Amino acid sequence: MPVIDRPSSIGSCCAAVLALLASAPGCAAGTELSPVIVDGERASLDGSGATIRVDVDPLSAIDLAELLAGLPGVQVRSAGGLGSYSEAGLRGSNGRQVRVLLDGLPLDTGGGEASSLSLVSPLLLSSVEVHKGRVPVGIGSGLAGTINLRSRTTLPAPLAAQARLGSFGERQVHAAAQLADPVQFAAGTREADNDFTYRNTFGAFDPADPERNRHEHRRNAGTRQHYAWLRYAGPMQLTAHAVDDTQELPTRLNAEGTAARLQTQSLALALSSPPGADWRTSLSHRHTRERFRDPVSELGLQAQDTRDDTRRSALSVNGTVGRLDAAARIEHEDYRSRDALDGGAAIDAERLAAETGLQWQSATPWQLDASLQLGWSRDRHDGDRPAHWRIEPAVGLSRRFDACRIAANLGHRERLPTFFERYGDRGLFKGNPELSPERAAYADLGTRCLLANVDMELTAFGQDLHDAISPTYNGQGIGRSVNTERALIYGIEFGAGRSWNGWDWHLGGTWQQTEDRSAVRASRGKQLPGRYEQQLDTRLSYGWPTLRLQYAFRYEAGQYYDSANLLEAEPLRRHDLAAFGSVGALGWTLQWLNLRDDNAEQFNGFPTPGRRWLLSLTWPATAVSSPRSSP
Amino acid sequence: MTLRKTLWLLPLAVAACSDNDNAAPPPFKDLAVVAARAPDYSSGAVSLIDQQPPYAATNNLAPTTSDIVVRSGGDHYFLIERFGSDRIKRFDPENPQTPAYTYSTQDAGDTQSSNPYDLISAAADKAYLLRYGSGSLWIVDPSATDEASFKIGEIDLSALDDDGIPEMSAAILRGSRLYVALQRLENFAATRSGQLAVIDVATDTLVDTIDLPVRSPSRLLADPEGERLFVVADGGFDGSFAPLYEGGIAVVDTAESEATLLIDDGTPEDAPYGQIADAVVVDAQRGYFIGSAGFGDDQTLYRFDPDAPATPVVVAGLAGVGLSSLAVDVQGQVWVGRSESAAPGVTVLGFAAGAETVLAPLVDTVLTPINIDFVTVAEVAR
Repeated sequence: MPVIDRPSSIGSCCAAVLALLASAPGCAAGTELSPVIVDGERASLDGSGATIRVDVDPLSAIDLAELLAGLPGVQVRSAGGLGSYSEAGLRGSNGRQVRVLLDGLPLDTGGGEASSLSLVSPLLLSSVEVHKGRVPVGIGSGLAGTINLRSRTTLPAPLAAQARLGSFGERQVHAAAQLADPVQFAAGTREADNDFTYRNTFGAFDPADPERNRHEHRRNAGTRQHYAWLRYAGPMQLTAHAVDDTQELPTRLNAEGTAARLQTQSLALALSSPPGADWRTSLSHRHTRERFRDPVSELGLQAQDTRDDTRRSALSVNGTVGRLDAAARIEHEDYRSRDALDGGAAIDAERLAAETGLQWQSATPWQLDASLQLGWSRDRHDGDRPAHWRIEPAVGLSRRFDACRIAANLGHRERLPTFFERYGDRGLFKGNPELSPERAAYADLGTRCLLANVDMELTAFGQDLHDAISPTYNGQGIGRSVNTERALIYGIEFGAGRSWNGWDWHLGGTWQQTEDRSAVRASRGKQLPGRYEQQLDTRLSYGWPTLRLQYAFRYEAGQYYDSANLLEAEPLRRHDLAAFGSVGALGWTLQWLNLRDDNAEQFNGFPTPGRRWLLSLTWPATAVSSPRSSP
Repeated sequence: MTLRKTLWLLPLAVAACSDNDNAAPPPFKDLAVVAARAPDYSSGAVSLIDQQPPYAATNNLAPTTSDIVVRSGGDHYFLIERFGSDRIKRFDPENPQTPAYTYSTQDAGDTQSSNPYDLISAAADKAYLLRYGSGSLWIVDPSATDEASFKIGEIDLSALDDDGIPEMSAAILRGSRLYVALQRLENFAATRSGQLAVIDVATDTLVDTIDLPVRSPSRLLADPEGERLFVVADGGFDGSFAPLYEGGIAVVDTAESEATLLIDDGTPEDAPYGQIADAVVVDAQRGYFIGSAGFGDDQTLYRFDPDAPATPVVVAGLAGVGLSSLAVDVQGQVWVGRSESAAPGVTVLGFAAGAETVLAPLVDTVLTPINIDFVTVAEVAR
């Protein structure tokens, strides 16, 4: 499949950074560094589909959420500081409508929430691919697109390590080693107290602070994660990935002694054909166990101690024959949920799904790109065995005109309800077995150009969403999901960048409308909740021989917390500064983030950290900071 | 009911401009105050509706979270923000977007949400604040001009439930007694019958308890022409939130401290009305209740005779629809909250010649009504 990669200004920026670092005193002193591949962001066209590739720089990649935030068309929402729940939406979608994959294996569980970006350390990753709109067959798509996380296949040195220290108790250590020629091992740990200060207007009356102007520390917001990664690259490639993640869950009241927790343990094994094989096969399995504890009803009205187990096994094959890409996938998912405080609340459900897809591309100059995915699934729950067929056609057209390429896409996709949405029973929420899949028709039209030192992209997109799955409640406040929502989403993404005389500049942004077109009186004609209307991201950096300084600004506005658009979120205005350098083989970054010291709330009642600093060290200093990584 | 207890305040009047979907104060003297929520519970707000035709409404006032109720204070009203917000706001209807005050309902040592449920006024400077998530009922001064003066006492009811939190869900003042309905849930499951705590208002002490023949009491109603109390109970849910049908409408003989079942909601196998979601009593011969058959718009409004409750009558046009709450104003108009998400609002009913008359088919509230109360406000020259 032809892929046109156009190094953006980011890539140019990183090249400049690399050049500067290479000429730094440490480098000049004779330290042997591995060749550096400088890949910042690359906006590419897979056929006619739009893909953003972000190469992960361990020096500046704070976490996955920070890495993705600021990309045009991507909206990241976080519930707190480092390690807190965070989700990514694409082109006006919510997080559940985006599929997040790690080396092709879905990270989502049956629990119903979106895949939390905090569960994967960016230090394990070499790159992140964001497929907005059209997704190539063989990858597997969510309703709005796919984020595919690619693990590192090669290390810059036999032993590599990163360490980070920051405000609010953030500490992180990561090490990776090439144990033998085919064996790579990585492990790390990450912790944060997230005890940043903020103004809590929900606290009890304090005669010493009757107006509640005093900033208090966020309580019970700490996170801790341990992870390990093992890859054996023999005739077949074997990968194992284990994560043990614990999040304390703060409340709006921010009371002392809060004890709510979410613990996630995940173990994944994958056996796949080596990279570059004509036909790529993969057999994978992931077991994720989530334990949610709210023993004294601090988060919900009912005390809970639920344990959810999701086991997902998948066999996939894909390859290319001439102009035809073919893919097939069989997946089995098993979901079990128990509440230790309530013996009656239990869910056992299974889903067997199979899909196959074909994608065909015509020759140039006008390149027609057509694909058809056919899927079947059958659930098993409580004696019921509902089956569902889905057909997902897509067609695209693209052509190159000198330094520009234009592309247009049109397609249709579906998303099956999660087990929780269909069969769940947690707190005041019950599943709805009659739930139908969400459906969306999407289209986009865009162009990307590389003109001298300037690269630009502009894309208009739209999505007609039907049968969206949304919660509803009866007179007693008992909730369940129903297919009610219809929405029309449309917008424009843009990006531009330039490099000159040591300066690098990038500007990207999104303007979008997410109109609720349901029959619901309160929300009809209003924006979908949780989606920004405008987003802007810009970065400016300048390099000296031994140092590079960078300023970044991110702006998000027009988001409402609620479907009736009565509660508008404060606009996000974030200013960041960073300095990058190296001493010998040791790379370092010092970052000052969120200089305005705002506690933006992307989820209502869940403030995020204010001003903070981070010091990152990497050995060897084989990668340079990508402006795509935060800041 | 609250209005009748709070009419020590002289009726006043007000003049202002009105609009359906903005913040301009309405030019009404007698107003219905409606707490309302988005259908997905993502937000809530207040609507003010003229009690006279054409029942003009001003909506989306003072937006906040969805777990709210309103309670009249006579010429003002309170917005009670419940679980997780734990605040009470006082509003003047002339300034419905800006609270006169916002006070916390948390004690400094509280680690859990106090979940304020209702405010029962005893005097201009004394009211009882039910705290569903706590064992302690607050005595407050609703006229307090600073937060330090708001809480003036508390009554410990923790002994009335094994877990120390008796889930005080409703209360009513009759004479010198405050009757407080206790759900006594066990991890949100209605495992046993509810209870009434009887408090002597003069001494603010617990003087008696009355066992109820229903579970999960949700509202207390006064007998307009007698000393009885009516207890509305949805019967509760089990641990999986399946309805238990252990509720109905009970009547309490306050002189004898005895409660008997007036209307039974049946059993899970045979629930003639569904769960009893809300009720009002208009006079000695006429009351109404909402029977809820489950999710969606499947509620029915029944008329019943408190003295002959055996055969409730379905109110014409209000069967199998979305109903959320009931209230009755001093004119005897019955205000019915409509929860259909496509057309939420309030239907106002009158009664003539033995049948209901529709005074207002649907007053649009934009959001779904949660509860309704009434205020009488001053008429101020503008």
